[in-house]
Amino acid sequence: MFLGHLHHLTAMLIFAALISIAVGSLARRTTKRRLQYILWTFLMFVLFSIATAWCLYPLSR
Amino acid sequence: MQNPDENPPAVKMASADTNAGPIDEPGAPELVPQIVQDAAAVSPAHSSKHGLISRVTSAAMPTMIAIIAWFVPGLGHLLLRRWERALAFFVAVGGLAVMGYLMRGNVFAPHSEDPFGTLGFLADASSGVFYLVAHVLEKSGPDVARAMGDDGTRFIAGAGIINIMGVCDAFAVARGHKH
Repeated sequence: MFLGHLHHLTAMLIFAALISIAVGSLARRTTKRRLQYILWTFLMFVLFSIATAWCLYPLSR
Repeated sequence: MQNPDENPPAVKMASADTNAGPIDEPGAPELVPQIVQDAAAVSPAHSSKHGLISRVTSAAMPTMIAIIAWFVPGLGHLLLRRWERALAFFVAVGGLAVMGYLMRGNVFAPHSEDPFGTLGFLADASSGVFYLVAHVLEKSGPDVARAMGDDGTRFIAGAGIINIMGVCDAFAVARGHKH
């Protein structure tokens, strides 16, 4: 099995989801608050990644 | 009238101290055996050889938990009965490492002349057992010439760094510094 055909965005989403699960599980005490924090971390991760990508876009041309 | 034998040791010592006066007076030497005797009565385990072994074991337990948590991500939390964190760390570290290998990311060798290679090895090896199975999952070797292989290198290093977080958390929980 080889995942070389993955799109960059897909790889970034998977990376963000897995990191968010680990970080979010450390942050809060109750399960509900943890799930909320995992979702919040994931959304911020994706948002800042896309924002950073657009900021760097002019440099790539 | 209150029976003096029912008093706790601290009360007995205080009353003896009040009657004895300064420490260099004749009443003071009698306090030392009394304090030792009372301490042994309160916690006999601490005064025995088994108590010492128990204390050494409890002091070494956080270190053992940290080593176990490093070797198998999530197992340290599992032994501490933190089920959710155990599952989260196993899924996160395992998922990142396996994805990285399947994307043909670079796995750094132990001996590297490049300092970044050494840092990469430390990050990769921090994923514990997942580092040891790298050659099984990545039979074709790394392919960092392709962009996805380069991303895979980050996935593998990220797995190790996340596991370090888990090891530190398990150590803190085992020491009682964190819930």
